[in-house]
Amino acid sequence: CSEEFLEFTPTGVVSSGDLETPAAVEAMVVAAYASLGNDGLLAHQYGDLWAWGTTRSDDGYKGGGGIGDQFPTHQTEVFTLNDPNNFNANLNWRWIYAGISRVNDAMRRIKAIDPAAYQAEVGVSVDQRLAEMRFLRGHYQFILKILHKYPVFVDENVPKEEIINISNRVLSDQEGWAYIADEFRAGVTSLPDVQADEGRPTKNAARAYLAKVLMYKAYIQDDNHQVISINAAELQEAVDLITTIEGTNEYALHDDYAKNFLWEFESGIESVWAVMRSINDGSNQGRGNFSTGLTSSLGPGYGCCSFNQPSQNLANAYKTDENGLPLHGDFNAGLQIQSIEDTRATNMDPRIAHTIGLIGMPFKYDPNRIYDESYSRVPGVYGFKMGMKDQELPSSPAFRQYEAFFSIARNTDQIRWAEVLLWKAEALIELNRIGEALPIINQIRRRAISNASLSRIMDAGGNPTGNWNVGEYTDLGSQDNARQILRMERRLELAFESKRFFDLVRWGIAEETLNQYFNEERSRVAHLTDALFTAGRDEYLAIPQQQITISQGLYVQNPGYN
Amino acid sequence: QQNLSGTITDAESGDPLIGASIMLEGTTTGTVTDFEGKYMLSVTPDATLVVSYTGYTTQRIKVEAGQSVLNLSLSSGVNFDEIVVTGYATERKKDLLGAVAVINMEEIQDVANPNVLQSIQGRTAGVNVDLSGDPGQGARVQVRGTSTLNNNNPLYIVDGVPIEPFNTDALGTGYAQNWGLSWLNPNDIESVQVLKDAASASIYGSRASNGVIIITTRRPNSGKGKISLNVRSSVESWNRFDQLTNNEERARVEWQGAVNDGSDPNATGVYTYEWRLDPSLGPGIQGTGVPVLERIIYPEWLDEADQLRPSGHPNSVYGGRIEEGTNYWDEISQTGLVQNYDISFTESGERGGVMFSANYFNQKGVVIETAYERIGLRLNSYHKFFNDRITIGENLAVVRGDRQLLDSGFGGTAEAAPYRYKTILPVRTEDGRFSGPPGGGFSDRDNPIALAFDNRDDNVDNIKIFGNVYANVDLLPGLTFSTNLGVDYDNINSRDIFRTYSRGFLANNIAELTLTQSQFASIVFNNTLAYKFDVGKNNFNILVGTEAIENTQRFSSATAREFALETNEYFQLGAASGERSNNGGETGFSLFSYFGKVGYSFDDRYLASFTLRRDGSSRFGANNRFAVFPAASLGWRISQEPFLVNNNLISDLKVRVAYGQTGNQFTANDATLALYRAVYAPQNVVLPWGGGCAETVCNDAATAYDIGNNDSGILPSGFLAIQTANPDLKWETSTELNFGMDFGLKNDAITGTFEVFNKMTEDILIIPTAIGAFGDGARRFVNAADVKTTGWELTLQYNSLVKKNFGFSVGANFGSYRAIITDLPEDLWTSYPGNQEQNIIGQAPNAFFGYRTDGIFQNAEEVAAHASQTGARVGALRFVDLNGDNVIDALDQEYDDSRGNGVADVQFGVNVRLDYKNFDLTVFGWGALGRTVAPDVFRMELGSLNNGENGGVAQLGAWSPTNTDSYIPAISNSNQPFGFSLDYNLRNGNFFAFRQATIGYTLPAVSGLRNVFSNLRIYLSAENLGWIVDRNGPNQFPHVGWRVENNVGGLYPKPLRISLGFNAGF
Repeated sequence: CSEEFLEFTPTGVVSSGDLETPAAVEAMVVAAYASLGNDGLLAHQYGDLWAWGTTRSDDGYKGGGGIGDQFPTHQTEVFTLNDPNNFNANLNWRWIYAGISRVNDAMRRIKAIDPAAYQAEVGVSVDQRLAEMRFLRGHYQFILKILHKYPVFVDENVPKEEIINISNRVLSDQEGWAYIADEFRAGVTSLPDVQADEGRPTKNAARAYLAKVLMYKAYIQDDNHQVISINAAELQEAVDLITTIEGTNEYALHDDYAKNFLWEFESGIESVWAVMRSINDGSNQGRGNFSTGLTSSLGPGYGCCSFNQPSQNLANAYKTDENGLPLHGDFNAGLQIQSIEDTRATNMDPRIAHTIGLIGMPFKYDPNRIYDESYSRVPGVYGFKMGMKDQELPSSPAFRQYEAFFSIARNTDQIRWAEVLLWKAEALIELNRIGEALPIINQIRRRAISNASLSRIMDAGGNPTGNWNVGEYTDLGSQDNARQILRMERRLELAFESKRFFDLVRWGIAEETLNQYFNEERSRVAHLTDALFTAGRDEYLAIPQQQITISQGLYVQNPGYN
Repeated sequence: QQNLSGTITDAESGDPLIGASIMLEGTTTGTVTDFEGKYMLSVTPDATLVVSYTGYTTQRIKVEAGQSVLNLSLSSGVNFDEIVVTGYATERKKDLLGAVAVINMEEIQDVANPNVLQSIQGRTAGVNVDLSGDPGQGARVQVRGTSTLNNNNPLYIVDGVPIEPFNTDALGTGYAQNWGLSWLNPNDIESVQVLKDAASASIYGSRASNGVIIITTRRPNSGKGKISLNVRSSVESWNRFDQLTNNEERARVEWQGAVNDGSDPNATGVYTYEWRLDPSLGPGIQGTGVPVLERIIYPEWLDEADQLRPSGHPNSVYGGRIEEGTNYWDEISQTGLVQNYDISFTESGERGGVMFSANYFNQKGVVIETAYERIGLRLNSYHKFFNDRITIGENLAVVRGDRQLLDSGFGGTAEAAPYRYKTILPVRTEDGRFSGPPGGGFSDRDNPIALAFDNRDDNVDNIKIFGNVYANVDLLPGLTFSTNLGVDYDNINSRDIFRTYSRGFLANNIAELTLTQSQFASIVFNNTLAYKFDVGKNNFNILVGTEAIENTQRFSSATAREFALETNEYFQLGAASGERSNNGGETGFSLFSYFGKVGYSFDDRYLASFTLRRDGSSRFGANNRFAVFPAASLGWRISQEPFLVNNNLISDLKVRVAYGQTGNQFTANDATLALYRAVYAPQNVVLPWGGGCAETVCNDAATAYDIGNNDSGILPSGFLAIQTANPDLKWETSTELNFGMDFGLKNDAITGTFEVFNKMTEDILIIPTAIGAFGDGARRFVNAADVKTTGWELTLQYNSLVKKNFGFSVGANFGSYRAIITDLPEDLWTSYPGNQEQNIIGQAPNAFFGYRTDGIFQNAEEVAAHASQTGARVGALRFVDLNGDNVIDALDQEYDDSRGNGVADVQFGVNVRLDYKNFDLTVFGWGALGRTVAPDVFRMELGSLNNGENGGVAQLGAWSPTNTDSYIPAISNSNQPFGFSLDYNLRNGNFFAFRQATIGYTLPAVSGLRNVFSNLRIYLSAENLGWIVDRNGPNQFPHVGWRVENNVGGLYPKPLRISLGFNAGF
């Protein structure tokens, strides 16, 4: 009698064996996608990598309530406090592997199912679903790779209990990139040209992501993260992939730069692949973008928490000369761009009005909402500027407030077409085909100053809010000159889209760029007083100490962190 | 009938005892002694006299036929014939072989706490209680310190029915069920016993490893019907606050922080300053001169559009002084009021007895909008049948509690507010609305007054039905069968209203109502057979039994959004016009046990006891479902030996040793299984502290995704792996060896107990942190980690010789514990402090790990000469390069037990009682020595802007070029100490707290009122009168408990409380 009395039947749960029908496998595929949207506001900002890509670069400061607020991000911003125990880095790592484990779980189930039955019930092939899953896994591994350089590669063939026995150095740096490239090559082969569900990647998305991987892989690093050579064949492959995509005419630049940063136009013609976000979807708070949940300003209708504030250096970078060209080397001297008076006092690239909230300027395209001192939280530390690209107006249907916090249901672009074009230009320049790069860069610049783009940033009286002047290049000069032009263009076009730090590392110029930046910026903001970039260490985060400890020393720490 | 007379005297002094009671047993006939201690009584032959006197051992003595004189002397002191409930049986206290503490209920009966556990802190060696003044809040109790990394809560047994005051939810986390024991009226309690060591507790087997607290409610008194009435009213006030800056002080601090950093103080957002650099005073921190503040300019408006003026601004309609701003301590506190009414009736006769009581308790807390109300009824009765061979009885309590608790709205609870909401912010805007944070320079914390007001209609209420039905059958002489069926049923309803509001930049646009109902039911059925017999001088006492326990938990909640009106009356689920959602689930566990106990004594000199319990739990897999918990103990009452029996000094001496094993099954109900679950989306993703799962990869991460880019509508969703199976999961086991000594001197005028123990807890049930690459479903319960606990306890009691009208007694208890983690899997190392080279193994579970500092850099030369330290500058803390590599980094940290490990070396309690004529006075205090705490020095001493929140006045005394003697480093916005310092962050945690003093007056027995009252006592009592600490810095409030002192804010104070009450009997 006692044995029966002690039997326990769990409630409200299922066992693995309950999840083997085609419908259940489809549900597990959805669960794998769902982890893309499980990024969050504290530490696991893998949907929008601002804390890793922007605040570690010369584009932005951590912001927030002071240096102690989200201190792990302060640690990575100043580099001198870089620490294998960085709390946020470890959590981010864990959350990304949660996504990978969902992919692997779904893949094991897809592989175990009868392909014909699956095709009959679901309407797509097993191969296509497997390619989708590999695309997601490639995406996750890519993020880990650019953050930590030597992540652990776990695929669906590894039994779960064996995972702890896999080192993070099974693959070398280049082999790791090759592994990730292969995930997308599978997509190039097996993904369809069109997907009924916009959240699923297409063949072109796989091509674009593969090109992105190659743009990293081609800059070959030594053991101390220094770029020692460039693989021309891989750059050529990237060029070819992008050319192939161009031939399909699936993507183009929006006429209006702003459309990339407004919910009404999400997943539009310029979006190659995005994380889907939703609202009023039966969940308590909407499946919005919480990775930017801390980056809102404190202006009317907004609240917490004023993180990710543009640097003075970035604002100055938008200055142009009388020909509308960037100032390049000496932009940071002279007039400091702080307010609408400053943007009207000199030639400026109007992309600043899409990117940075400046005193006296309309905020987020609303001519009646004038940005002022109250928008930033601790101006005594981080100044008065706030980022805008990831924001929506409080009146947007995609905007949702929860007391002090916000989420925005705009899809989070992972790749947009302008960036793909800039990769092509970059590869061409490195391949010394500078003439072919010129029209691409000018195409990007033309859109920046297009009438559609400019009309979006007028003041209430219909007047320009700055002395907007963007000119086209007539030629790019030497290869080195062209390289500088391309890199500046990438910064201006993609600022506050969380790319900058990774670009600096990829190009091998993180140390020189950031230490020069610190030397100048230090006199403007006290929180960078002790900032210093140490080459050979700070290009990557540490392998989280918690992971090394749990692996019982199997994992190898990155150089400089021991 | 025969006449009997005599004198009753004190055994030691020979003084007559005045007013001693002499009753004929089983009747209502009796008398009291006169001023010479004499009495006269008419008795029947063979009558038994019961002679009693407060503070003395009651004696029963049989009158011999024809006897006319009977003189008797009574002994004062601890009642060693006291009967103690020790697990399915009772024992004489003097026969105890393990570490059992008995709480003196008399000492705590005047305390105005609704929860008896809150009253026992410091009263017993080895029992530690979290204290809080939060009305209706439960109490967490620890017996003998931290002995597991799992849940440390003891098992509670009330009238033989085990209670799980902390349940595990479906995720295996513990949460308080029904606020601990707040439902149990202290006045209904007859006794509280704590089984501290494993040998005593092992009869409770599987859940006893953290000790067992046995509570017995009042049985019907013998004799004729008696009505008792207790009435008490108390007022409470919040007697001390952390010293926080006012408006002017905050302005100074923010200026100082900015100029220390060399940044522009006029960019800090709120204040503007007139100031200058004076190089003639020295180089200052920045080397440019010493900054001098000349004038603070307060803004005219904080937000003119929102009609928000600085608090106390000359133009404000509310008046006040701008230098002061708003004192939020005043705003959130109120005078508390506690009322308690007890009425009880008890009667018993030859065929049975009854005890009925009713209780009403009402507390208005010292923080606004907090309250607790309790109405309880109890009926305990028994009946005897078949020549008293069968006794059938029941104990039943029905209680309704209603708690208005602090809502932890945005920015925490109201009592955290003064730390967070700056004094420059007024409570209300000029046009009368609640204020909110206006933007730059302010944190995102909400207006505490508004928060309390918005949540005024939130409450949690419960109905608890608790009781048991039992039968005892005397089968043969000495052989008794007992059966007991107990029920613990709780129905908890909570109502949570989320109103719309807009305050500063905080807003909620959708009104929301959530109703949650939880039901807990626990049924216990146990049967025992007890046999007592003697063979010559050998006494045997044998018990065997079985017990079955079934526990079920159910909860459901419903949420509705959008309400046309926001009145309390309109907030009904059916009245909502918007989206609705619901949630729910159920779980449970069962236990089945066999147990047996053999007690043996020889001639009252040699004592032995053996216990065995075999437990089965539904929480463990078939492989390890059952476990056996044995215990054995031996005792030697030396004082009964011939060589001591006539000793005048030593009246009692017993030594004993006990060994036992107990278990802990605190794990999830489904802990052994691999599981997947449909989550859709977590309840709360935005606010991780609201139950969401931002902090770890958790079992509540969404499985729904808008894969079709539809933006809204119900999303496709999947399943999430939440747990990995472990069919080998088994009990956590504690093995404890306890050595004890009980002694009494001078006819027990001095008594004491000394215990030493060594406890090893193995196979601790924990969830290790999986390797990150494992991903979802990594949660797995395992048996890992060992903790070793050692300690000692000493209890001393002195009861004076009673001289005429004067009595004096003093008691003291001391306890000391030391826990060490002796084994821990690598997976868990990073859950504790450490670095690449050091981990927690060999340290106390809450050991401090950190850097060493040696003062403050006084000048640039000192900075230059020092090892490389990020953030080193004039005025900063100087960190010690422990490993001598000339760089301050993570490897310069250490564990240093000599600087404290968060646990006191000794905790103690002292109580004193004085009796003079009809007055009684008791005083009680407790304290700790050798204790270290780590308060929030960042907020209170260091950061000037600190998230736009308030801070301590200590910041004004921080190091500056003109105040170089300070121990506090220069305040700053961008420079903070390099790390946690064992010198700077740790503070002396020693304290002594005066917890209670009571003075009572008992109406003389000879008074005319005796015709109305059989007894009447009036008393005045004060709690939390004050305390002594010896340290710098914040949080000097030891009275709130041992754990919370390491936090700042969010502490509900234990208030000063003055009570006036009376106990009357009719």
